[in-house]
Amino acid sequence: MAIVLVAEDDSDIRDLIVFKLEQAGHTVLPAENGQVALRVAAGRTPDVALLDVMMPGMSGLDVCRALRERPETARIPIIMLTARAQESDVQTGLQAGADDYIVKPFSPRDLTQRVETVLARAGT
Amino acid sequence: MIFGNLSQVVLGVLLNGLGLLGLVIVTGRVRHRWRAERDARLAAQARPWLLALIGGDDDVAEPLDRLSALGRREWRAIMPSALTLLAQVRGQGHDALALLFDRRGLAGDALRGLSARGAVARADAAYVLGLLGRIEAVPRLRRLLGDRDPQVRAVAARALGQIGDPVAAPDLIGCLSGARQVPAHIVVQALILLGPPARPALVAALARGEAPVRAVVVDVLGFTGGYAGSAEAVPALARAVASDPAEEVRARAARALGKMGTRECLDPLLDATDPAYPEAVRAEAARALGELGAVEAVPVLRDLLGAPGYRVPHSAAEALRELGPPAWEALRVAAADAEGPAGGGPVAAHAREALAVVELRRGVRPPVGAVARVRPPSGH
Repeated sequence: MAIVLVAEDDSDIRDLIVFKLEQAGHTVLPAENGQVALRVAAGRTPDVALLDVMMPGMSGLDVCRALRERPETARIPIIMLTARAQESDVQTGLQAGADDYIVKPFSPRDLTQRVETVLARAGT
Repeated sequence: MIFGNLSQVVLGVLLNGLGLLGLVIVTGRVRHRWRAERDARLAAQARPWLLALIGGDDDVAEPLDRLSALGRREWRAIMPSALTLLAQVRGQGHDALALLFDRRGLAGDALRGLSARGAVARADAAYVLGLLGRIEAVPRLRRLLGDRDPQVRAVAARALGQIGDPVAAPDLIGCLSGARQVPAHIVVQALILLGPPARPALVAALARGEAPVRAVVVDVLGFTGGYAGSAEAVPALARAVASDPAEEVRARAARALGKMGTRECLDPLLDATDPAYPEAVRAEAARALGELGAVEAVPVLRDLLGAPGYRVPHSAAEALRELGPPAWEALRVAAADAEGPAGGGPVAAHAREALAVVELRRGVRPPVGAVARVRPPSGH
C-alpha cells in the first residue's frame, strides 16, 4: 500500500479523502495548505500526491512545480483536484507536471481508483 | 450641593451601566465560545458516520440510520459539513446524502423556505433544493427567477441548472433581459447543465430575443454542440452567421459552429469567409475552421492569407497552424513567397509567425530575427 500526500484546504473534503484512502489501505499524509504539504513531503516522501488547485497562499499548481523540482519527489505521480474543468486549466495543470486531473464534484470511489491507477502506472 | 450629588448619581449610574454592559459582553462571548466548542464536539462525534455514509461503498444502512436518528442539536452541528460535501461529491456518496436529507425532512423545509420573508432564507432554500435535485421545486424556482433580490435570482438560476429540467430553459433565457436580470455567466452555466433538451428554447430565442440575449444563446449552443442530435442547432447558427442583424452575434455564431465540431458546420463557415461578410465575421469563421479541424478548408484559408487588413489573414494563419501537416505545408509555401525587401510582405509574415508557434510547440526555438511579427493596427 502507498503513502499518499493530500493537500486540500477544505477540512470536510480533506477528511473524506483521507477516510476513503485509508479505507483502501493507504497511509495518508494530510495537509491543509501548500506550505504544509511541502513540509510534510520533505519529512516523509509520498508515493503519490493529490493536490487541490485552489488553495489560499500557495496553490496546488505551485506545490506541484515545487515537488517536481525536488529530486526525491520529482518522479512521483501527481493528481490535481479542482472545481475548474476548462481545457485551459487542465493544460495548465499538466504543464505544471501533473499526471492526472479530478474535477469536483467527484466520486469518492473514482478518486480511490484514479489514485491506484496512477500508482500502478508508476509501478509503485 | 444638589449638582454635586446629581453628578455623583449620574457617574454611579454610568459606571454601573458600563459594568453591566461589560458583563453582558463577556457572558455573550463565553456563551458563544461554549456553544462553538459544544457544536464542534457534537460534530466530531457524528463525523465518522457522515464519512462512512459518503465514503462507504455499499453498506450505508447503519450510518444512514445513525445520522437519521441524531437529535436536533447534533444534526445542526453536523449539517454544515453534510451540505458542503453534498455540493462536492457525486455518485453513490451524493445519493446517500440526498437520502439522509430526505429522511431528515430537509427538502420539505427548503420547499417551505422558498416563500420565506428573508432573502437569505429564500436563497438558502433554493441552494439546498438545487443540490438535492428536487424536480418538484422547479415551478417555484422558476418564479424565484423574478425575485426582487438579485442574489435569490442567481441562486434560483443555479439550482434550476442543477436540477436539469429543460422546462426552465425559456425562463432562464428570459433572465438575460428585463428589469430583474441574472448575470449572463450564471445563466450560461445553468443552460449548459440543461443540455440538449434545452436546444428548442435556445433556437427559438435566436429568432426573437434582443441582440445581447442572442449573443449569449449562440455561445450556449456552441458549448452544448458536442452532444448528439445537433441537427436543429447548426441550421439556426448558420442562419445567425449569415443574417443576424448584429455583427457581434454573427461573429459569435461562427465561433460557436467551430466549437460544435460537426461536419455540417463546415459549409456555413466556408460561406462566412466570403468577402461579402463583415471583417469580424470572416475572421471568426477562419479561426473556427481551424478549431473544427477541417483539412478541406486549407485552400480557402490559404487564399485568406492574402485578404486585405489584419484580422482575416491573421485568423487564417492561426487556423492553418491548428490544422496539422497539410496546412503547415501551405504556410511554408506562403512564408517562402518573399515579396518585399525584408523577406516577404504581410502574407509571408503571418505565415512565418504561425510556423514559429508550430516550432515552439514542438520544442524548437526559431533563430532570433527569423520571425517578423505582424503588428495589428491600433484598435485590434
